[in-house]
Amino acid sequence: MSMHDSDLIERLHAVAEGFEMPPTPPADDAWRGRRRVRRNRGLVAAAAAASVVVAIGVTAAVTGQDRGGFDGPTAAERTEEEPSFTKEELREVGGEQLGLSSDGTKLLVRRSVKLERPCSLLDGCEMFVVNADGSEHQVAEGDGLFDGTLAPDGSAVAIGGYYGFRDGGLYIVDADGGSPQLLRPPAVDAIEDPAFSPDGTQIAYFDGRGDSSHSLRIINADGTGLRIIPTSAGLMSGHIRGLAWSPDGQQLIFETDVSPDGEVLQHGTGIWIVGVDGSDLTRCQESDPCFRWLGAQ
Amino acid sequence: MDVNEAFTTYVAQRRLQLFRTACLLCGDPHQAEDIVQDALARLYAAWPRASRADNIDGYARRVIVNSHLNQVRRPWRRERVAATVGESPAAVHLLTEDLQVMWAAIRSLPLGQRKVVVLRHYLGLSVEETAADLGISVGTVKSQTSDALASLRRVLAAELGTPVREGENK
Repeated sequence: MSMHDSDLIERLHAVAEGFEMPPTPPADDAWRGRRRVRRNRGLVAAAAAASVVVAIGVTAAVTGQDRGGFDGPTAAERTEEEPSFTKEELREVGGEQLGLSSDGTKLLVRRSVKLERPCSLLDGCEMFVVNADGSEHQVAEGDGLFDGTLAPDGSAVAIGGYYGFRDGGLYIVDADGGSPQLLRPPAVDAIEDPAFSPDGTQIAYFDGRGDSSHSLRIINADGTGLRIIPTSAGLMSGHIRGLAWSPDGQQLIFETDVSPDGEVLQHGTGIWIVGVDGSDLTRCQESDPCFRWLGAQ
Repeated sequence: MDVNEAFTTYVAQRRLQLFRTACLLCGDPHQAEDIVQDALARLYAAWPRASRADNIDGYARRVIVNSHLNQVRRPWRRERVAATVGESPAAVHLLTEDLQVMWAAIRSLPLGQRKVVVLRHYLGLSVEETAADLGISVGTVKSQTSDALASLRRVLAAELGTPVREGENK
Protein backbone atom coordinates (compact mmCIF):
# COMPACT_ATOMS: atom_id res chain seq x y z
CA MET A 1 0.00 0.00 0.00
CA SER A 2 1.34 3.43 -0.83
CA MET A 3 0.63 6.94 0.42
CA HIS A 4 0.08 10.13 -1.55
CA ASP A 5 0.76 13.80 -0.89
CA SER A 6 -2.80 14.21 0.33
CA ASP A 7 -1.98 11.66 3.06
CA LEU A 8 1.05 13.71 3.99
CA ILE A 9 -1.09 16.80 4.37
CA GLU A 10 -3.63 14.91 6.44
CA ARG A 11 -0.84 13.80 8.71
CA LEU A 12 0.45 17.36 8.95
CA HIS A 13 -2.98 18.38 10.26
CA ALA A 14 -3.09 15.40 12.60
CA VAL A 15 0.29 16.35 14.05
CA ALA A 16 -0.86 19.95 14.55
CA GLU A 17 -4.04 18.80 16.25
CA GLY A 18 -1.92 16.81 18.68
CA PHE A 19 -0.70 20.03 20.26
CA GLU A 20 -2.88 21.11 23.12
CA MET A 21 -2.38 24.69 24.17
CA PRO A 22 -1.58 25.47 27.80
CA PRO A 23 -4.69 27.09 29.33
CA THR A 24 -4.23 30.84 28.97
CA PRO A 25 -7.14 33.23 29.49
CA PRO A 26 -7.40 35.74 26.61
CA ALA A 27 -7.39 38.46 29.26
CA ASP A 28 -3.75 37.55 29.99
CA ASP A 29 -2.86 38.25 26.35
CA ALA A 30 -4.70 41.56 26.53
CA TRP A 31 -2.78 42.43 29.70
CA ARG A 32 0.53 41.69 27.99
CA GLY A 33 -0.64 43.75 25.02
CA ARG A 34 -1.39 46.72 27.26
CA ARG A 35 2.09 46.40 28.74
CA ARG A 36 3.51 46.42 25.21
CA VAL A 37 1.58 49.56 24.31
CA ARG A 38 2.78 51.27 27.49
CA ARG A 39 6.37 50.26 26.79
CA ASN A 40 6.15 51.50 23.21
CA ARG A 41 4.84 54.84 24.44
CA GLY A 42 7.73 55.00 26.89
CA LEU A 43 10.22 54.29 24.14
CA VAL A 44 8.71 56.98 21.92
CA ALA A 45 8.88 59.46 24.78
CA ALA A 46 12.47 58.44 25.52
CA ALA A 47 13.41 58.80 21.85
CA ALA A 48 11.83 62.26 21.79
CA ALA A 49 13.73 63.20 24.94
CA ALA A 50 16.92 61.86 23.41
CA SER A 51 16.33 63.99 20.31
CA VAL A 52 15.97 67.06 22.49
CA VAL A 53 19.18 66.19 24.36
CA VAL A 54 21.04 65.70 21.07
CA ALA A 55 19.65 68.96 19.71
CA ILE A 56 20.72 70.82 22.83
CA GLY A 57 24.15 69.21 22.63
CA VAL A 58 24.58 70.16 18.99
CA THR A 59 23.42 73.72 19.74
CA ALA A 60 25.84 73.94 22.64
CA ALA A 61 28.68 72.65 20.51
CA VAL A 62 27.90 75.14 17.73
CA THR A 63 27.61 78.06 20.14
CA GLY A 64 30.56 76.93 22.25
CA GLN A 65 28.48 76.64 25.43
CA ASP A 66 29.45 74.17 28.11
CA ARG A 67 26.52 72.32 29.67
CA GLY A 68 28.57 70.91 32.54
CA GLY A 69 26.50 69.65 35.42
CA PHE A 70 24.08 67.49 33.43
CA ASP A 71 24.57 64.10 35.00
CA GLY A 72 21.35 62.31 34.07
CA PRO A 73 21.19 59.14 31.98
CA THR A 74 22.54 59.28 28.45
CA ALA A 75 20.22 59.08 25.47
CA ALA A 76 21.27 55.49 24.92
CA GLU A 77 20.57 54.68 28.56
CA ARG A 78 17.14 56.25 28.34
CA THR A 79 16.10 54.36 25.24
CA GLU A 80 17.32 51.05 26.66
CA GLU A 81 15.56 51.53 29.97
CA GLU A 82 12.98 48.84 30.66
CA PRO A 83 9.69 49.49 32.41
CA SER A 84 9.34 48.25 35.96
CA PHE A 85 6.30 46.69 37.63
CA THR A 86 3.86 48.88 39.47
CA LYS A 87 2.17 47.59 42.62
CA GLU A 88 -1.09 47.23 40.71
CA GLU A 89 0.59 45.16 38.01
CA LEU A 90 2.25 42.92 40.58
CA ARG A 91 -1.19 42.18 41.99
CA GLU A 92 -2.42 41.19 38.52
CA VAL A 93 0.34 38.63 37.89
CA GLY A 94 -1.00 35.16 38.62
CA GLY A 95 0.84 32.49 40.59
CA GLU A 96 3.06 32.45 43.64
CA GLN A 97 5.55 35.30 43.48
CA LEU A 98 9.04 34.16 44.49
CA GLY A 99 11.17 37.22 43.84
CA LEU A 100 11.58 40.53 42.03
CA SER A 101 14.79 41.79 40.41
CA SER A 102 16.36 44.78 42.12
CA ASP A 103 15.32 47.13 39.29
CA GLY A 104 11.73 45.87 39.43
CA THR A 105 11.60 44.75 35.80
CA LYS A 106 11.51 40.94 36.28
CA LEU A 107 9.43 38.77 38.53
CA LEU A 108 9.86 35.07 39.31
CA VAL A 109 6.57 33.18 39.76
CA ARG A 110 5.56 29.57 40.30
CA ARG A 111 2.30 28.21 38.95
CA SER A 112 0.54 24.90 38.79
CA VAL A 113 0.43 23.22 35.42
CA LYS A 114 -3.21 22.58 36.26
CA LEU A 115 -4.32 26.12 36.84
CA GLU A 116 -7.43 25.23 38.76
CA ARG A 117 -5.42 24.35 41.84
CA PRO A 118 -2.36 25.66 43.67
CA CYS A 119 1.06 24.32 42.85
CA SER A 120 1.93 21.45 45.16
CA LEU A 121 5.34 19.95 45.77
CA LEU A 122 4.71 16.58 44.20
CA ASP A 123 2.46 17.72 41.37
CA GLY A 124 3.31 19.52 38.15
CA CYS A 125 4.62 23.04 38.68
CA GLU A 126 6.15 25.58 36.36
CA MET A 127 8.37 28.59 37.04
CA PHE A 128 8.29 31.66 34.86
CA VAL A 129 10.22 34.90 34.71
CA VAL A 130 7.62 37.55 33.92
CA ASN A 131 8.95 40.77 32.43
CA ALA A 132 7.33 44.09 33.18
CA ASP A 133 6.62 44.51 29.47
CA GLY A 134 4.24 41.55 29.75
CA SER A 135 6.37 38.88 28.10
CA GLU A 136 7.38 35.83 30.08
CA HIS A 137 9.72 32.84 29.83
CA GLN A 138 9.28 29.45 31.38
CA VAL A 139 12.47 28.53 33.24
CA ALA A 140 11.50 25.18 34.79
CA GLU A 141 8.75 22.61 34.83
CA GLY A 142 8.24 19.39 36.74
CA ASP A 143 7.23 17.72 39.97
CA GLY A 144 9.18 18.47 43.13
CA LEU A 145 9.89 22.02 42.06
CA PHE A 146 10.46 23.33 45.58
CA ASP A 147 11.75 26.88 45.48
CA GLY A 148 13.36 29.45 43.26
CA THR A 149 15.29 32.69 43.58
CA LEU A 150 15.91 35.39 41.01
CA ALA A 151 19.37 36.95 40.75
CA PRO A 152 19.27 40.61 41.84
CA ASP A 153 20.13 41.73 38.30
CA GLY A 154 17.38 39.49 36.90
CA SER A 155 19.77 37.51 34.70
CA ALA A 156 19.39 34.04 36.21
CA VAL A 157 17.20 31.85 38.37
CA ALA A 158 18.41 29.33 40.95
CA ILE A 159 16.04 26.43 41.58
CA GLY A 160 15.85 24.07 44.54
CA GLY A 161 14.35 20.70 43.68
CA TYR A 162 13.26 17.38 45.07
CA TYR A 163 13.05 14.04 43.29
CA GLY A 164 10.70 14.57 40.37
CA PHE A 165 12.44 17.72 39.29
CA ARG A 166 15.17 15.67 37.64
CA ASP A 167 17.01 13.95 40.53
CA GLY A 168 16.65 16.89 42.86
CA GLY A 169 19.43 19.37 43.58
CA LEU A 170 20.33 23.00 43.11
CA TYR A 171 20.03 24.21 39.51
CA ILE A 172 20.66 27.47 37.71
CA VAL A 173 19.01 28.64 34.51
CA ASP A 174 19.10 31.75 32.37
CA ALA A 175 16.16 34.06 33.07
CA ASP A 176 15.35 33.99 29.33
CA GLY A 177 14.84 30.22 29.54
CA GLY A 178 16.97 27.27 28.51
CA SER A 179 17.92 24.05 30.20
CA PRO A 180 18.56 24.24 33.99
CA GLN A 181 22.15 23.32 34.82
CA LEU A 182 22.94 21.30 37.94
CA LEU A 183 25.05 23.29 40.39
CA ARG A 184 24.95 20.80 43.24
CA PRO A 185 23.17 17.47 43.81
CA PRO A 186 21.36 17.05 47.13
CA ALA A 187 23.43 15.71 50.01
CA VAL A 188 20.29 14.29 51.64
CA ASP A 189 17.02 14.54 49.71
CA ALA A 190 16.00 18.05 48.74
CA ILE A 191 17.26 21.58 48.25
CA GLU A 192 15.06 24.24 49.84
CA ASP A 193 14.92 28.03 49.97
CA PRO A 194 17.77 29.02 47.66
CA ALA A 195 18.53 32.74 47.98
CA PHE A 196 20.92 34.82 45.89
CA SER A 197 23.28 37.09 47.82
CA PRO A 198 22.67 40.82 47.32
CA ASP A 199 25.61 41.02 44.89
CA GLY A 200 24.41 37.94 42.98
CA THR A 201 27.69 36.04 43.34
CA GLN A 202 26.56 33.43 45.90
CA ILE A 203 23.53 31.32 46.69
CA ALA A 204 22.54 30.25 50.19
CA TYR A 205 20.24 27.25 50.59
CA PHE A 206 19.16 24.43 52.86
CA ASP A 207 19.91 20.80 52.09
CA GLY A 208 17.79 18.29 53.97
CA ARG A 209 14.90 15.92 54.21
CA GLY A 210 12.10 18.48 54.08
CA ASP A 211 11.11 18.09 57.72
CA SER A 212 14.49 17.22 59.26
CA SER A 213 18.24 16.76 58.77
CA HIS A 214 18.90 20.21 57.30
CA SER A 215 22.19 21.97 56.78
CA LEU A 216 22.66 25.61 55.81
CA ARG A 217 24.99 25.99 52.84
CA ILE A 218 26.48 28.72 50.64
CA ILE A 219 27.83 28.09 47.16
CA ASN A 220 29.20 30.42 44.50
CA ALA A 221 26.77 31.06 41.67
CA ASP A 222 29.13 29.20 39.31
CA GLY A 223 28.88 26.03 41.43
CA THR A 224 32.27 26.34 43.15
CA GLY A 225 33.22 27.06 46.76
CA LEU A 226 30.57 25.11 48.70
CA ARG A 227 30.56 25.91 52.43
CA ILE A 228 28.44 24.40 55.17
CA ILE A 229 27.50 27.06 57.73
CA PRO A 230 27.52 25.75 61.29
CA THR A 231 24.29 26.56 63.11
CA SER A 232 22.44 24.38 65.61
CA ALA A 233 21.52 20.73 65.20
CA GLY A 234 18.26 21.37 67.01
CA LEU A 235 17.18 24.20 64.72
CA MET A 236 17.99 22.03 61.70
CA SER A 237 15.73 19.19 62.87
CA GLY A 238 12.38 20.76 61.87
CA HIS A 239 10.76 22.46 58.92
CA ILE A 240 12.52 25.43 57.32
CA ARG A 241 10.12 28.25 56.48
CA GLY A 242 12.37 30.76 54.72
CA LEU A 243 15.90 32.00 54.14
CA ALA A 244 17.25 35.43 53.21
CA TRP A 245 20.43 37.51 53.26
CA SER A 246 21.07 40.68 55.19
CA PRO A 247 21.31 43.71 52.88
CA ASP A 248 25.12 43.85 53.38
CA GLY A 249 25.52 40.14 52.55
CA GLN A 250 27.25 39.38 55.86
CA GLN A 251 24.43 37.53 57.64
CA LEU A 252 21.70 35.03 56.88
CA ILE A 253 18.24 34.92 58.40
CA PHE A 254 16.06 31.83 58.49
CA GLU A 255 12.80 30.67 59.98
CA THR A 256 12.14 27.27 61.59
CA ASP A 257 9.33 25.63 63.51
CA VAL A 258 11.57 24.10 66.20
CA SER A 259 13.56 25.39 69.14
CA PRO A 260 17.37 25.04 69.43
CA ASP A 261 16.84 21.86 71.45
CA GLY A 262 14.75 20.38 68.66
CA GLU A 263 11.34 20.76 70.28
CA VAL A 264 8.48 21.67 67.94
CA LEU A 265 7.25 25.18 68.74
CA GLN A 266 3.64 25.13 69.81
CA HIS A 267 2.93 28.68 68.69
CA GLY A 268 4.40 30.24 65.55
CA THR A 269 7.96 29.92 64.39
CA GLY A 270 11.39 31.16 65.38
CA ILE A 271 13.46 33.50 63.26
CA TRP A 272 17.22 33.23 63.58
CA ILE A 273 20.16 35.20 62.30
CA VAL A 274 23.69 33.91 61.76
CA GLY A 275 26.88 35.29 60.20
CA VAL A 276 27.91 33.83 56.85
CA ASP A 277 30.84 32.26 58.70
CA GLY A 278 28.50 30.66 61.26
CA SER A 279 29.20 33.24 63.94
CA ASP A 280 26.74 34.85 66.34
CA LEU A 281 23.67 32.65 65.95
CA THR A 282 20.95 34.66 67.68
CA ARG A 283 17.18 34.83 67.69
CA CYS A 284 15.77 37.76 65.78
CA GLN A 285 13.11 39.67 67.66
CA GLU A 286 10.13 41.36 66.08
CA SER A 287 11.55 44.77 66.93
CA ASP A 288 14.91 44.04 65.23
CA PRO A 289 15.64 45.22 61.67
CA CYS A 290 16.45 41.62 60.70
CA PHE A 291 12.79 40.70 61.21
CA ARG A 292 11.92 42.52 57.98
CA TRP A 293 14.60 40.91 55.80
CA LEU A 294 12.66 37.70 55.14
CA GLY A 295 9.64 39.60 53.89
CA ALA A 296 11.78 41.99 51.88
CA GLN A 297 13.22 39.16 49.80
CA MET B 1 -17.11 46.71 21.04
CA ASP B 2 -14.01 48.22 22.68
CA VAL B 3 -10.44 47.19 21.89
CA ASN B 4 -10.09 44.83 24.83
CA GLU B 5 -13.34 43.05 24.12
CA ALA B 6 -12.67 42.74 20.39
CA PHE B 7 -9.14 41.53 21.01
CA THR B 8 -10.06 38.95 23.65
CA THR B 9 -12.90 37.66 21.45
CA TYR B 10 -10.50 37.26 18.54
CA VAL B 11 -7.86 35.58 20.73
CA ALA B 12 -10.42 33.16 22.18
CA GLN B 13 -11.31 32.06 18.66
CA ARG B 14 -7.85 31.93 17.10
CA ARG B 15 -5.25 31.31 19.79
CA LEU B 16 -5.22 27.53 19.41
CA GLN B 17 -4.59 27.70 15.67
CA LEU B 18 -1.89 30.32 16.13
CA PHE B 19 -0.28 28.13 18.78
CA ARG B 20 -0.34 25.07 16.53
CA THR B 21 1.08 27.11 13.66
CA ALA B 22 3.91 28.27 15.91
CA CYS B 23 4.51 24.67 17.06
CA LEU B 24 4.91 23.53 13.48
CA LEU B 25 7.17 26.48 12.67
CA CYS B 26 9.55 26.22 15.60
CA GLY B 27 9.27 22.53 16.53
CA ASP B 28 9.04 23.21 20.25
CA PRO B 29 5.74 23.71 22.11
CA HIS B 30 7.37 25.75 24.87
CA GLN B 31 9.01 28.13 22.42
CA ALA B 32 5.73 28.20 20.50
CA GLU B 33 3.97 29.52 23.57
CA ASP B 34 6.61 32.28 23.86
CA ILE B 35 6.11 33.11 20.18
CA VAL B 36 2.34 33.30 20.51
CA GLN B 37 2.53 35.48 23.61
CA ASP B 38 4.95 37.81 21.89
CA ALA B 39 2.90 37.87 18.70
CA LEU B 40 -0.37 38.57 20.50
CA ALA B 41 1.21 41.40 22.48
CA ARG B 42 2.35 42.89 19.16
CA LEU B 43 -1.07 42.29 17.64
CA TYR B 44 -2.75 44.05 20.57
CA ALA B 45 -0.44 47.04 20.15
CA ALA B 46 -1.34 47.17 16.44
CA TRP B 47 -5.00 46.27 16.94
CA PRO B 48 -6.52 49.60 15.82
CA ARG B 49 -4.65 49.30 12.51
CA ALA B 50 -5.02 45.51 12.18
CA SER B 51 -8.74 45.54 12.86
CA ARG B 52 -9.25 48.05 10.05
CA ALA B 53 -7.42 45.76 7.64
CA ASP B 54 -9.44 43.41 5.48
CA ASN B 55 -7.74 40.35 6.85
CA ILE B 56 -6.94 40.23 10.56
CA ASP B 57 -6.00 36.56 10.22
CA GLY B 58 -3.38 37.46 7.65
CA TYR B 59 -2.01 40.15 9.92
CA ALA B 60 -1.88 37.75 12.88
CA ARG B 61 -0.22 35.10 10.74
CA ARG B 62 2.51 37.49 9.63
CA VAL B 63 3.09 38.56 13.22
CA ILE B 64 3.52 34.89 14.23
CA VAL B 65 6.02 34.27 11.43
CA ASN B 66 7.92 37.46 12.26
CA SER B 67 7.89 36.71 15.98
CA HIS B 68 9.33 33.31 15.22
CA LEU B 69 12.06 34.88 13.10
CA ASN B 70 12.81 37.36 15.88
CA GLN B 71 13.31 34.50 18.30
CA VAL B 72 15.48 32.55 15.88
CA ARG B 73 17.65 35.61 15.29
CA ARG B 74 18.22 36.44 18.94
CA PRO B 75 21.86 35.52 19.41
CA TRP B 76 21.44 35.15 23.16
CA ARG B 77 18.54 32.78 22.91
CA ARG B 78 19.77 29.38 23.95
CA GLU B 79 18.90 26.51 21.72
CA ARG B 80 16.48 24.22 23.47
CA VAL B 81 16.50 20.52 23.00
CA ALA B 82 13.47 19.99 20.81
CA ALA B 83 10.67 18.27 22.64
CA THR B 84 10.37 14.60 21.98
CA VAL B 85 7.04 12.92 21.84
CA GLY B 86 5.87 11.88 25.27
CA GLU B 87 8.27 14.29 26.96
CA SER B 88 6.16 17.36 26.42
CA PRO B 89 2.61 17.66 27.71
CA ALA B 90 1.81 19.53 24.51
CA ALA B 91 2.58 16.49 22.39
CA VAL B 92 0.78 13.77 24.30
CA HIS B 93 -1.75 13.21 21.55
CA LEU B 94 0.79 12.04 18.98
CA LEU B 95 0.11 8.47 19.93
CA THR B 96 0.76 6.63 16.70
CA GLU B 97 4.15 5.86 15.37
CA ASP B 98 3.51 7.32 11.94
CA LEU B 99 2.50 10.68 13.45
CA GLN B 100 5.67 10.68 15.52
CA VAL B 101 7.64 10.01 12.35
CA MET B 102 5.77 12.79 10.58
CA TRP B 103 6.51 15.21 13.43
CA ALA B 104 10.20 14.33 13.31
CA ALA B 105 10.18 14.75 9.53
CA ILE B 106 8.60 18.22 9.77
CA ARG B 107 11.16 19.31 12.31
CA SER B 108 13.98 18.08 10.09
CA LEU B 109 12.96 20.42 7.26
CA PRO B 110 15.03 23.58 6.70
CA LEU B 111 13.27 26.63 8.12
CA GLY B 112 12.34 28.08 4.74
CA GLN B 113 10.71 24.85 3.57
CA ARG B 114 8.96 24.38 6.91
CA LYS B 115 7.42 27.87 6.72
CA VAL B 116 6.18 27.27 3.20
CA VAL B 117 4.69 23.87 4.05
CA VAL B 118 2.95 25.20 7.15
CA LEU B 119 1.46 28.18 5.35
CA ARG B 120 0.51 26.28 2.22
CA HIS B 121 -0.68 23.00 3.61
CA TYR B 122 -1.62 23.61 7.24
CA LEU B 123 -3.14 27.07 6.89
CA GLY B 124 -4.30 26.42 3.32
CA LEU B 125 -2.91 29.58 1.73
CA SER B 126 -2.48 29.86 -2.01
CA VAL B 127 0.97 30.09 -3.56
CA GLU B 128 0.45 33.83 -4.06
CA GLU B 129 -0.73 34.43 -0.49
CA THR B 130 2.22 32.44 0.88
CA ALA B 131 4.65 34.43 -1.25
CA ALA B 132 3.11 37.70 -0.06
CA ASP B 133 3.19 36.63 3.61
CA LEU B 134 6.80 35.49 3.51
CA GLY B 135 8.03 38.22 1.22
CA ILE B 136 9.44 35.77 -1.33
CA SER B 137 8.66 35.09 -4.96
CA VAL B 138 5.96 32.76 -6.23
CA GLY B 139 8.67 30.65 -7.87
CA THR B 140 10.49 30.25 -4.57
CA VAL B 141 7.29 29.17 -2.85
CA LYS B 142 6.72 26.53 -5.54
CA SER B 143 10.26 25.19 -5.44
CA GLN B 144 10.42 25.13 -1.64
CA THR B 145 7.06 23.39 -1.44
CA SER B 146 8.21 20.80 -3.92
CA ASP B 147 11.50 20.23 -2.09
CA ALA B 148 9.75 20.03 1.29
CA LEU B 149 7.20 17.47 0.13
CA ALA B 150 9.92 15.42 -1.53
CA SER B 151 11.89 15.44 1.70
CA LEU B 152 8.84 14.41 3.74
CA ARG B 153 8.12 11.61 1.27
CA ARG B 154 11.68 10.33 1.56
CA VAL B 155 11.68 10.36 5.36
CA LEU B 156 8.32 8.66 5.67
CA ALA B 157 9.16 6.05 3.07
CA ALA B 158 12.41 5.26 4.87
CA GLU B 159 10.95 5.22 8.37
CA LEU B 160 7.63 3.51 7.66
CA GLY B 161 8.63 1.39 4.70
CA THR B 162 5.68 2.77 2.73
CA PRO B 163 6.28 4.51 -0.59
CA VAL B 164 4.70 7.95 -0.85
CA ARG B 165 3.62 9.17 -4.26
CA GLU B 166 2.99 12.65 -5.55
CA GLY B 167 -0.59 13.78 -5.99
CA GLU B 168 -3.97 12.93 -4.54
CA ASN B 169 -4.95 9.67 -2.94
CA LYS B 170 -7.32 7.75 -5.16
